Amino acid sequence: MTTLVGVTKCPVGIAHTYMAAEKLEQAAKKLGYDKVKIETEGASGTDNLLTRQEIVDADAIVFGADVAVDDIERFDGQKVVFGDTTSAIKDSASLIKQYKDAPIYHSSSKEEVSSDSSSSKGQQNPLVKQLLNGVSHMIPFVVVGGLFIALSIAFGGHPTSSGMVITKGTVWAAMNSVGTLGFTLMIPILAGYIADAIAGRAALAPVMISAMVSNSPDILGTKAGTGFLGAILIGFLGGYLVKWINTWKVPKDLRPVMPIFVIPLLGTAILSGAFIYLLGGPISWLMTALESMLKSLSANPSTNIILGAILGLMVASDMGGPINKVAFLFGVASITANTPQIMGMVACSVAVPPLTVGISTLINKNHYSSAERSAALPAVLMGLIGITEGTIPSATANPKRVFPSILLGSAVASACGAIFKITDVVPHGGPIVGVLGATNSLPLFLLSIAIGVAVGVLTLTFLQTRAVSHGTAHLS
Amino acid sequence: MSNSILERNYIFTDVSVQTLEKETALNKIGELLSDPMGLSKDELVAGLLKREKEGTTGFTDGLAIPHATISSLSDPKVGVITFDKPIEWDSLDGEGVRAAFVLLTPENGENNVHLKMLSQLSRNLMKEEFVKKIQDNLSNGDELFEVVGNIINA
Repeated sequence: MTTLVGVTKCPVGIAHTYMAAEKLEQAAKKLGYDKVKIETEGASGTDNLLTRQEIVDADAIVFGADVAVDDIERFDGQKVVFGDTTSAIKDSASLIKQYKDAPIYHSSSKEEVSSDSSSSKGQQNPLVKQLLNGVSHMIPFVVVGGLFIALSIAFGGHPTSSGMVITKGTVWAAMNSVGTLGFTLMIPILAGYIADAIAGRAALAPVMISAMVSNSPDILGTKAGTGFLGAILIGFLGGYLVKWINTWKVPKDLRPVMPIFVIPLLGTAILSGAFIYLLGGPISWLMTALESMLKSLSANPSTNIILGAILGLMVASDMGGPINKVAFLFGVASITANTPQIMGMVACSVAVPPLTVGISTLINKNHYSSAERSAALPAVLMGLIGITEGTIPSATANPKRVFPSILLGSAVASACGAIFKITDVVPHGGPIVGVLGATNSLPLFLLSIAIGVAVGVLTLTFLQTRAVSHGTAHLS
Repeated sequence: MSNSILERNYIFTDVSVQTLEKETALNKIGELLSDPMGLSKDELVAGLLKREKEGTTGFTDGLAIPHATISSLSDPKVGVITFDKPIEWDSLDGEGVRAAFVLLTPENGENNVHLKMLSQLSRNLMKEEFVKKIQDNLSNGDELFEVVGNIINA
C-alpha cells in the first residue's frame, strides 16, 4: 500500500488549486500509488485536510502551490517536492518523480535554534526525535507540579516521623495537591507524546491510559509504579503498536472507526494488559531482591560506605521508579528501626540529580537545548526541596551524559553521608530537611550534598562540552 | 439578473474577434457578458486583465479559465465563450485557446457552496472525457450549457 499526499494552492483559490489537485491525483494513480489525498486550500476553504499522521505515513509528498501552504510545520522533517500549480497541471508525473531526490523540509522556527549545531540534523535519529517530542510536552507539567510541591513544602511543611506534612486546610495543602496532580500527569504526557510522534493522535488514548496504569502500584500489584522509564517504554511500544495496526488492511467502511474505537480499545487492552500481567511480577521480584541485598549489606557496619554508594546509585537510577523506591523505603524503615543513618545517606543523594542538571545547565547555558534551559531553574528549586523527579526532563532528553553524572554524584553524596554518619529522622531528603533540623549535623549534611553535586556538575560539564565540540549533542 | 451560476444566455459560441490576441478577446468577453450578467463592462474587463497579469489562465487542450473577483456579486457566475479561431493566450502547452470558461467570484467566498461548484468545474477541465465533450461541441451552445450545467447547476 503506497500513499501520496499533497497540497495545492493558488492566489485566487478558484481554479488552479483544483486543476492542480486533479492532475496530481490522476498522475499519482497512473504511477501506481494506491491512495492519493490532495489537500486543496481554496477560496471556499480547505478540503481534504492532511493530518500530521497522514503526512508522516505518506510514501511521497508533493506540493503544487504558488503561495505558502497553511500550517506548513505539519511537514517538518519530511521530504517534500515544492512544485507550483503550473508544473502540477502541465507535467504532474515528473513533479511526483522528483520526490526521490527531494530535500527534507525543516520548518524555519526549528532551524533557527539549531543553526549552531546542526550539520547532522537532517539525519537526526527518529527515536531521539520521538523521545524529545515527549520531553518538550512534559516539561511544563514538571515545572508546574514540581514548583507547586516544592513551594508548598518549603512554606507549609513540618518535618514529622511520617515525612514532610502540610497542615490540612491551609493554602499550602491545596497547592501541594494541585502540584501532585500536575506531577502525576507528567508520566502519561511523556508517554503519550512519544507515541504521538510515532503514530499520531490515535496513539494518545491507549498510551496515556496505559502509562497511568504503569505508574499505579495498586493496579500493578506492586509497591511502586514503573516511573518515567516505564513511561518511555510504553510510549515507544504503544507508538509502534498503533503504527503497525494502521498498516492493517481494513475494509473501507471500518476505517473511520479505527482511530476512535478499534485502536484505543485494542491498544489499551494490549499495553495495560502487558504491564499488569507481564511486568507486575518481575517488578515486585526486583524490589524484593534489591531489598534483601540492602539488608545483608546493612548488617555489617564496616561496609557502610559501600551501602551508601549503592543507595545513591539507586536513588538516581530511575527517579521515582521501583529502584529509587526501594532505596527510599529502606531509609524510611531505618528510622523506625532506630538506625536513621541509612535515611541520612538517602537524604544526601536525593537532591543531587536535580541540582546537578540544574546547576550545570545554568552555568553553561550555550551547551544545552532550550528545553533543558527552561527546565534548569525549576530543577534547582526542586533539588533544594528534595524532589528527585525534577531531573527527569534532562535525563530523558540527554540520557547518555546525564545518567553517568547523576549516578556518580549521588553515589558520592550518599557515601559522604555514610562517612560523616549523618542521620535523618524525617522520611524526606534534600537540604530542606537539614534546614528544618531533622539531621544530626546541618553543616556536614550540606557538605555531603555539595560534594556530590560538585562531582556531578564536573562530570556532566565535561561530557557535555565534549559532546558539543564533537557535534553529537542535540541542541535543537 | 438571475440567481443561478450558469444561464443559457451566458454562453456564446463561435465568437469572432478583430485580432487573435488575449487582450482583445477579454474585451470581447466583457462586452458580451456584462449585459446578461448585469455587471459593469469596465469592472469586468479590468478584473480579468488584472488576473491575467499575475499569470496566464490558458492551460492545455485549447482551454482557458479567465477569472476575476467582482465586489458587487454575492454568488459566483460562470460564462462560456468559444472562438471561431484559436486565440494566442500564452497557454501552458502553447496552443491557441478555443474555449474560455469565465469564472466570476464574489469577494468573501469562505464556505460558499457555489464556489465549490467552481472547483468541481476546474477539476473536470482536467479530465479527458469532459474536455473531449467540450471540444466536440464548440459550436453547439445548447450542448455546452448541458455539459457544463450538469456540473455547475447540480
